[in-house]
Amino acid sequence: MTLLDFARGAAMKWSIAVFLFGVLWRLVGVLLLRRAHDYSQSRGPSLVAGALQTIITRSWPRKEFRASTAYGVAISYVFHIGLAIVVFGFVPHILLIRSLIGIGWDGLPSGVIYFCSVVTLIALVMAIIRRLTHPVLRLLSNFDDYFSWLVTAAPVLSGLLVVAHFGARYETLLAVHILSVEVLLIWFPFGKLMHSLLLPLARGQTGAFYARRGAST
Amino acid sequence: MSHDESIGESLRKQGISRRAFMKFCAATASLLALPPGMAKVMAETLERARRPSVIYLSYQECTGCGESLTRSFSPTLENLIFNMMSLDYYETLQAAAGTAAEAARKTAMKENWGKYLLVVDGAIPLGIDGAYCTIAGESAADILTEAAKGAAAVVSVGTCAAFGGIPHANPNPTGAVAVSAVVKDKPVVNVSGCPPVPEVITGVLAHYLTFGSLPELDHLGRPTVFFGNTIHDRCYRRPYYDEGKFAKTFDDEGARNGWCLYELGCKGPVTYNACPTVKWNQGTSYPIESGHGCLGCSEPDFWDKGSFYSALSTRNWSGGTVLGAAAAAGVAIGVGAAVVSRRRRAQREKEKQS
Amino acid sequence: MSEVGIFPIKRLDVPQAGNRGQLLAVVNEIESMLARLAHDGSSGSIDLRGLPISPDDRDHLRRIFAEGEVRAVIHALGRTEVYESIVRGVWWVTHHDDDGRIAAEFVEVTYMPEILKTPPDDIADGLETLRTQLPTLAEDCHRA
Ligand code: SF4
Repeated sequence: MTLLDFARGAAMKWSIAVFLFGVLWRLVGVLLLRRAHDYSQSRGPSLVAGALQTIITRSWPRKEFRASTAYGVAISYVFHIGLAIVVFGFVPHILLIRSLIGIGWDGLPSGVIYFCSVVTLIALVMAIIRRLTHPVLRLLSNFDDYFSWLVTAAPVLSGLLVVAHFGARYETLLAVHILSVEVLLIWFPFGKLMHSLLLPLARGQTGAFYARRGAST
Repeated sequence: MSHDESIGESLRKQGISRRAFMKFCAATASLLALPPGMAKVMAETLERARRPSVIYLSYQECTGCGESLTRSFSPTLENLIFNMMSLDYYETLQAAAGTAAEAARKTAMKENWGKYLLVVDGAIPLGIDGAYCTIAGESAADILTEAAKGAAAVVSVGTCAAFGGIPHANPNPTGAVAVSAVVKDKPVVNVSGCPPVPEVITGVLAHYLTFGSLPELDHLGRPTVFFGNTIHDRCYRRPYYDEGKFAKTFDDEGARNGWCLYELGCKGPVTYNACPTVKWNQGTSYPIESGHGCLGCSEPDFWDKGSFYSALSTRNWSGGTVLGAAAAAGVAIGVGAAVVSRRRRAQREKEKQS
Repeated sequence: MSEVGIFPIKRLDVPQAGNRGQLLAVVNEIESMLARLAHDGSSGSIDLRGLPISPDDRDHLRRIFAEGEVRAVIHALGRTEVYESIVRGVWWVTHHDDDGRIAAEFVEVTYMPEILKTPPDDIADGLETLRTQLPTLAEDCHRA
């Protein structure tokens, strides 16, 4: 069995299994928590609208903080959008998704993807430099932050190497790329990457809470 | 024709002009991807070289490799290569049979001990002491081991001989292995492919004749001149791959426009072979040019790498149960965690009240 | 619709578009070889076997280097066709085998392709052939 066979076979199966297991554990665990009864009368028009509103408004820095956070927000927007384009727009990725869940869609021209991955990688590097040099951010960061960064950046870098046929034989590069994604999948539910699923929930909850009290968020 | 005659003398006797010979060398040098200047060197060396003895053994195989090889047997340029060698034993083509054939092999081996070139096609079954394939009462493994002892070098022709191929495929009932698993102490060159491109077989032989040695090999023992690039590297559809233009079915607009076959399962990106440059059927085309993706037949275990029609980036496994079980376990533990937390909370509230 | 036996076959003549970039690279290389030939007389050649270009681009290349003033045919182990293209100094050499399939194909940038020149060995052969005829010829002349 070659490394590529392993990456496309057993490693993929088990990493997806771990991913599903971990994600469901955490999501179900959070969703089934008992919510405290709030006996006060709702002062907002709609809790759902409040929740949605907060999810959106909090995705943008408040005027007061804009000057100090603009840079960080900008680079993280770039790599989040970049990642989404690369992951869901590249034809080989779509083929994989289709082979897993049966749903597929049209891809983007490869040139667009290459461009986006380079931009994404640059933004990721800028983000880690910021984390390492920003005095406060540095104090706030732990292993989870760095490792989550690593497992996110590694697939982008290895993917670019595959496309460029650079550094090793193609099949080895491809195997390393797939394996790097599998490491991400395994880490995903247990680290901060889980924010991509929990963040809307947490924000929505806060939004609904404030809406009930008639507070602005 | 005697073995002592030089190749030049032998060709001259057959009425082959020097210009014809030059043409052969130009074609062969081109085949071996040598710089055009090498044709001259080749001509000079071959002129003086002796005709080597070749013993060709066949085991677990479908004769596809032999078929491929004999496709270059028409009275043509490649045929010259066979005039330059003395093919002393080849079951598929020889007239002799039975004891006479075995005797011919033994004589050729004795007379050229240490010097002959051993060509093998087919895998070697090791199950039940090699009983799955025997010739004249001897097992394939035994004959091969003995023949390899006196060989200068061994050429494994075809994926079965090179890597075990189809006989070796899951579940491998006969315990089939590659030639290199039996022959350990001789240089073995793997000319893989199911079957190999005929010109690649003759090219390796021509290299051996010209330089008296085996060509440079990759980590799987294949000559790098032919197996140095992937199909994808030299594929004329590559610009479409780079542009992200893919045929989605075998008869859609994209297929008609000659777009890339990646989505239809092409294994070109991980397959090393000379198909796009040397081509098949008298240089007509190669599979991708005929509209079908590459199957990856020159790679080890190509038969066991999932569907020929699923894209390279897709999964290579089945087993929804594992995923189902993982998901169920995740939900169960999630529910459990929530229940425990609710209980604790209820307990705390109770404590507070009391 | 034409039929092959019982199978209906729909013919589609869609040209396979190639990538003009690869074609351009080949033509550029020929250009620099020709410049070298003009400059110091050194010849060069391109092996057409190894070129990853589409059938369509190959035709295009043929059109750029269409047949010019000189054409020669060699009968040695099958036909070899040599012609000088309309771009003088650029020759197109196609070796066929006995079945007519192409065994090797080169674009040669030179004064005269090597294969057209008589090799010294063959000259010796020619001399021998001629000399065997001389005595009979001399006899015939004397008799006349
Ligand atoms: S058809 Fe196959 S070998 Fe050719 S470019 Fe597409 S993936 Fe690569």
